[in-house]
Amino acid sequence: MKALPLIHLLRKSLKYKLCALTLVLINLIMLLVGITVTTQERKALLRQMQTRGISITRNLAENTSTFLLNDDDLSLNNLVSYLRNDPVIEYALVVDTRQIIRAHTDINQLKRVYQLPEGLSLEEGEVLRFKLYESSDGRRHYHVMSPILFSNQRLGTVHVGFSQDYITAVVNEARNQILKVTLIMLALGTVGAYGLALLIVKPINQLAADAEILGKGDLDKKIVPITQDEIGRLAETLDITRTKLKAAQETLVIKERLDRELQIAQQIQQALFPKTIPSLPNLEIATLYRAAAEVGGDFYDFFWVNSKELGMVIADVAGKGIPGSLVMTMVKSILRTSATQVSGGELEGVTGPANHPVTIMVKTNRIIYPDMKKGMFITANYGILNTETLTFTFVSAGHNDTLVYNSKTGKLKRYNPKGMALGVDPGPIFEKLIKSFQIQLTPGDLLLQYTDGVNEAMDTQRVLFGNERLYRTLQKYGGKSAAEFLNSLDREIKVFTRGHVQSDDITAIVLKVL
Amino acid sequence: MQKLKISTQVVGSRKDIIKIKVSGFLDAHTVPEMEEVVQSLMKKGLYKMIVDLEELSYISSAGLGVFMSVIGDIRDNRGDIILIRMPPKIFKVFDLLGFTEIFTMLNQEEEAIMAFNKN
Repeated sequence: MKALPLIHLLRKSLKYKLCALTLVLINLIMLLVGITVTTQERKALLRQMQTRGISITRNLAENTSTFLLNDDDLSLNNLVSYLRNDPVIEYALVVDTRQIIRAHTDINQLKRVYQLPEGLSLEEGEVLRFKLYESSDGRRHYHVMSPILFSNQRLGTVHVGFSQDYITAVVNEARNQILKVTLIMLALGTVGAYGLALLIVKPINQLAADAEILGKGDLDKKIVPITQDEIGRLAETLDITRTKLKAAQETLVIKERLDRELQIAQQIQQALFPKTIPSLPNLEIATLYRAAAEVGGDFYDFFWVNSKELGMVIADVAGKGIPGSLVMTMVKSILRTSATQVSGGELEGVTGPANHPVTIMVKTNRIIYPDMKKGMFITANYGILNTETLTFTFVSAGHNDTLVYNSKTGKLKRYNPKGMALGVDPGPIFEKLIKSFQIQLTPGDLLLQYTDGVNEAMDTQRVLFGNERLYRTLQKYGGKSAAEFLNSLDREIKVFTRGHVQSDDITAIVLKVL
Repeated sequence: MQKLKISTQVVGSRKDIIKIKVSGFLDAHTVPEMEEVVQSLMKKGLYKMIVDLEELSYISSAGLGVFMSVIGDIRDNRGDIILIRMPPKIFKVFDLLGFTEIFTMLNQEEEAIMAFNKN
């Protein structure tokens, strides 16, 4: 349980990871060095001891021969006593051929019969030999013996004992020394490794902190590289990412705002569509409006011109988006205002009743022309339905045909009185061209007015829905109610376009005489 | 997917008339290409344009808008847009909108060049 926080720390922090790794590495190196050094030291000491032991023993044998010959025990002991101070030498003694100890580092042993130390056994004929043996207390010793010769006649033997304790002590000393150095290295290494790790990790930590700030969404804090290395480059890249992200976010914010505004525009525009469609006893009125992705420029409108006459507008502004939508709003208001003004007043150069569709269109064109952007125009149908007589008088300002299908007779008729798009000409040409037409509606008639979003709906191959398909649809579903017919038409268009992006508003209005 | 193809060519003896041959679909999607061609000609001071529509297969109201938007400026600079070899389908669209009253429409390139040179 206690190790857990450490593991956790190691796992979480690059600094500690690096530090631990360095320390492990230092320890491993020191361990290896220690083992090698102590082994070598031990071997060297042993070799040294052997050489020294042999030379001491041999020297002793050579120097004692005359003393032994002359039975000069004093000089013998004198010589041996010099060896007493040597820490390596455990004992040194001289025995004569009768195995009587004649000289010994331990004076108490003099005159005794020499017996080999416990644990040591010598084979017959062994002369100068460095031999390892273990005493009963488990200590290890070396024993060297050398014959004392005088003119090839053996006078005795020199025995010298060395203690391995000394070597062990020296080796231990060396090991302790190495351990001390290791500990110092470890202490220094820890500090060093920590410092190094800190040095290496600092820019990484800085970068991690910066990235965290970035991750939290603060795109304004500049990421400054503090090194020139890979980390520095990473910081630079991150800063470039930050600036790009910031730019992208700004664009996104602008786009979102525009989208929202566009959405509002769309809502406003849709709110301008009549909320209720007039209901009449002998007539059905239905509408279809399917907006393209953008804010569209299509609209339709219904309003009472007087108690008997119903005004009907369908229009298409060339140009979609906000400009198209703005123009649409303007045209719709002007048309409705002009058409429903009781005292419209006579228009200069225009004859006929003040509320006649031609007069209304001329008036609308004159009003809107100065405000139109170049290249923008509106096509529109404006018709007045007399709900008592069922006459429909209408004008077409460059708009599509008005189609009338009678389910009783099966006849399909197309009408399109001459005219010109609104907003193109200041007056003269428009007013010269525009004509009205009057249709007498009879029971079973289905009158359809539509915008080019209907007949120019495209499939994925850019094939148009087309007039022929529209006529066929009318013939097929014209016997149904106004609303059912428009549902069928909408379905036919959807089936035809097979999900291809709708690029234009689809708008249609239907009058059905019951 | 049918697209719009536009090629321009200097015609006439005075080398101041540009014939623009348009083929394919001229609708809301391709209108910017057409606008660019016309605008760049106007920037160079070339206001006499013959637009050959023989191979135009479809024009939408936005496509018509291109010509409508520049005709005023072009005429103010003593130029014109003469539309030639208009297919009946395209003519119907122009006629429906009353644009036949605004634009000069001729059958052949030579007639258009003559019309420019007369003025």
